[in-house]
Amino acid sequence: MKKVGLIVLILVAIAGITGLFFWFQPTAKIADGNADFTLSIEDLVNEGIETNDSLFNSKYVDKVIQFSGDVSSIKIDDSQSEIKLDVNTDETVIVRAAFDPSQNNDLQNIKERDSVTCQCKFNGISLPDDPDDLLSEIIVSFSRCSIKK
Amino acid sequence: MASIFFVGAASSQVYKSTDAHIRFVSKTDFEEFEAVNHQPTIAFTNKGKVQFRVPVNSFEFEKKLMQTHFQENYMESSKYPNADFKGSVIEPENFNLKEGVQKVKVSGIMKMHGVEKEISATGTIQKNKNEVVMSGNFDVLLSDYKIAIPKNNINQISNTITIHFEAKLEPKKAKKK
Repeated sequence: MKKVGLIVLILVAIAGITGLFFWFQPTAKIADGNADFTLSIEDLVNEGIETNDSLFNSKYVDKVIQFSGDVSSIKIDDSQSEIKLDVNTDETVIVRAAFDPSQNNDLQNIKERDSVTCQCKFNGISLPDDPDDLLSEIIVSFSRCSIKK
Repeated sequence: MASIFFVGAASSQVYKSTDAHIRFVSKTDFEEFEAVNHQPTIAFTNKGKVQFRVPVNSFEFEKKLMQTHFQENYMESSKYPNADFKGSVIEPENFNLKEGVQKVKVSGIMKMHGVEKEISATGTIQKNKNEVVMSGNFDVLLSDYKIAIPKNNINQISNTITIHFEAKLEPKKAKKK
C-alpha cells in the first residue's frame, strides 16, 4: 500500500512539474527550425489577393515562412526592430518583418536596398475593405524574424 | 478643375504611423497579464478620421501557453487574423488638427473575431510640426466579440480588457511613380 502511495505521489509530482514547465515556458523569440514554406513575397501577396480568405489564412497564418526581398527601411530598437521590404506588384504593398532585440546584432550591417533572406512567423495579410479606406495598402505582417545568411 | 483639385487635396492631410504599439491588460483578483503588439498600422487625417489595423498574431505574450491559447482558442487568428477600427473624433466637435496637445474622444466601429461593435476611446493628439503623436485607451468586453472564457479560466482572465495605444505618425508620402 505504501509503495502504491509513493508511486502515485511521484507520478503526481512529475505531472505537476511537467505542467509548471509548460505553463512557464516562455514564448519563442524567433521562428527557428525548418520553414513550412519558402516562397517569394510577390507569390504570397498574389495568392493572398486571389485566394479565399479562410483558405489562405488556414494555410499560412502562424506558419514559418522563408522569403527574400529588398530592404526599403530598417528600424533597430530595444523593444522591437523592424525591416520593411519592397514588393514588386501592381498593388501598393507594405511588408513588415519584426525582429526581437536579440537579433539586433545581425541587423546592424543591413542597409536600405540590401537584399535579405528572412525566416519569420507569418501573422497575416490585410487587404483594404474599401477603396476609400485611409489604409489603402496591402499590409503583410511577420514577426519572430531572423536573418538567414 | 485644377483649383477644385487643389482645394480637395489641401482639405484633408493623411498621417500614417511610423511607430505604434498596442498593449492590452487583463486584470482579475487572481491574475494580471498583458500582451504587446508593435505592428498596428494607423492612419489619421487632420479632420479627425482614424483607422487602425492590427494583426492579431503580432500580440506577444511572455508565456508560450498563453500565446497559443490566445491565438488558437480565443481569437481564432487563423480565421480572423486582423482586428480593425474605423472611426472619427467626436469631441471636440468639428475637430481640426493644430499644433500642441488636444484631448479627444474618438468613436467608431471595431471589428474583431468576426464581430463589429461601436466603441469609444479617449486620448490625446499632439502635433509638433510634421509629427503627430496620439495615445489613449479604451475597454472592450470579450463577450461582445463572442470570445468565450472557459469556466476553468474565469479567475485568470477578465471579460473586461483595457487596451492602451500609442503611435507616432507622419504625413503620408505620395506614391512613387
